[in-house]
Amino acid sequence: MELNPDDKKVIDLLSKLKDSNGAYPSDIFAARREAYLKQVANAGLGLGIGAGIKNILKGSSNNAGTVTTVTGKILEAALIAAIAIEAGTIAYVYRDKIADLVRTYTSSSNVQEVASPSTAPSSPISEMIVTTEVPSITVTTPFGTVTITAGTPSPEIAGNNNTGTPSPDATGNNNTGISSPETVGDTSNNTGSGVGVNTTPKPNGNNGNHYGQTPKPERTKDNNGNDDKNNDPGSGENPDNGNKKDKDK
Amino acid sequence: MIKDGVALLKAAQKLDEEALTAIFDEFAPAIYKYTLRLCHDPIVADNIVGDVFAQLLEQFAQGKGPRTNLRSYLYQTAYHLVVDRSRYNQHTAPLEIAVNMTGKGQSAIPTQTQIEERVLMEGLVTAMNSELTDDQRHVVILRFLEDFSLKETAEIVGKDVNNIKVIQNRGIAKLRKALGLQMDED
Repeated sequence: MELNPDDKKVIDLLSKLKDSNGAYPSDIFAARREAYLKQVANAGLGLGIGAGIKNILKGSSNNAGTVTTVTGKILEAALIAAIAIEAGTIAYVYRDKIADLVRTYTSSSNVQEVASPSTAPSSPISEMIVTTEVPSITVTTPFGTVTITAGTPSPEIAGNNNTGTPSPDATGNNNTGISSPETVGDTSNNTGSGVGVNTTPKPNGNNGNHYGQTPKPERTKDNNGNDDKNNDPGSGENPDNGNKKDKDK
Repeated sequence: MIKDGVALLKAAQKLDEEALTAIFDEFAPAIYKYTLRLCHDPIVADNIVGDVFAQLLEQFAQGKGPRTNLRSYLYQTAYHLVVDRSRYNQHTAPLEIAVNMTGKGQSAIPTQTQIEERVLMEGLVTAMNSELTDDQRHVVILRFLEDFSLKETAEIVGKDVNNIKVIQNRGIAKLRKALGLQMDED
């Protein structure tokens, strides 16, 4: 396709436009060049590592000789060292948590000793005491209401397999515990006292240690100045009561 | 100093610092000028120069990049960047940037011929910015201001050579018409 003369004139003008001022300003050019050289330096660093890996891969694919093997070993050692350093760093950073974890595992096997409940020195009986329920009669008098029971709660010693200090007053059973003869309550002096007693639940074969949990009977009638402590059932202060019971048996 | 173009390119592909610096020194001013003609903004032109050479580095680092014609490749990258930017930002060309005909050897007081020529040139630049399509402007600049061949221009713009010929002739015809009208007015 030929150009006509008018077109040539336009092209001449365009070629003159080529020389128009559009030079790179020196300060902008210098800044751009500096930034570019930084990029070149970074790219060169990246290529160095990349080229090394590439060479290793090439060498392994070609089943190359000693140089590749040595390079591979060096790389392997470097990787192991890096992993070790990283693991050490992580262990150092999380050392508190690791210590807590180890402490948790080591302390979980220890058995904590729990102190057995102490028994009161005034009441050394450790057997289970079971009271039987006794029917009661309630009488209304002008002075008030009096509840009369046919008998006082009769405490019984349940369980003869105590293991403790043997006492000489045992009933001949296998009572090897402390098993002092004193029992809570007295059968001799309480027949007319009219005491309502709450019974403890039956053990159902559970001879657990319930000493001291026997409810104390409420006094519903004045004693008229009688200070006899033996009338107080369950006080446990009359050491002979139990013996009497044992004797009765 | 690497002077051979092929050796320079091969060294640059290996990210040789000297070769890459030589490429920048050689092509950056030309790319800047070309970009300035297209976008008419010195700051944008400078940014595009930075992007062009950053992409070149990236390509070399990935083992890609130009194998034969580095100059054409750089212009092509610049062209695409300019086109991408022009889609988001339409600039109007300040004439004093695009056409600064005051050369260093010229006297302060222009002659009548110089004034006429300057008016013509300003008319030409105005016509290029207003009358030509983007494709026509690119082809005209690459062909007549950057001295690329038809084949190279076709590679840069990404079109067929025959298509480039058609675009070029249509652009020249438009410029001639615009300048002819202006000459008639004068």
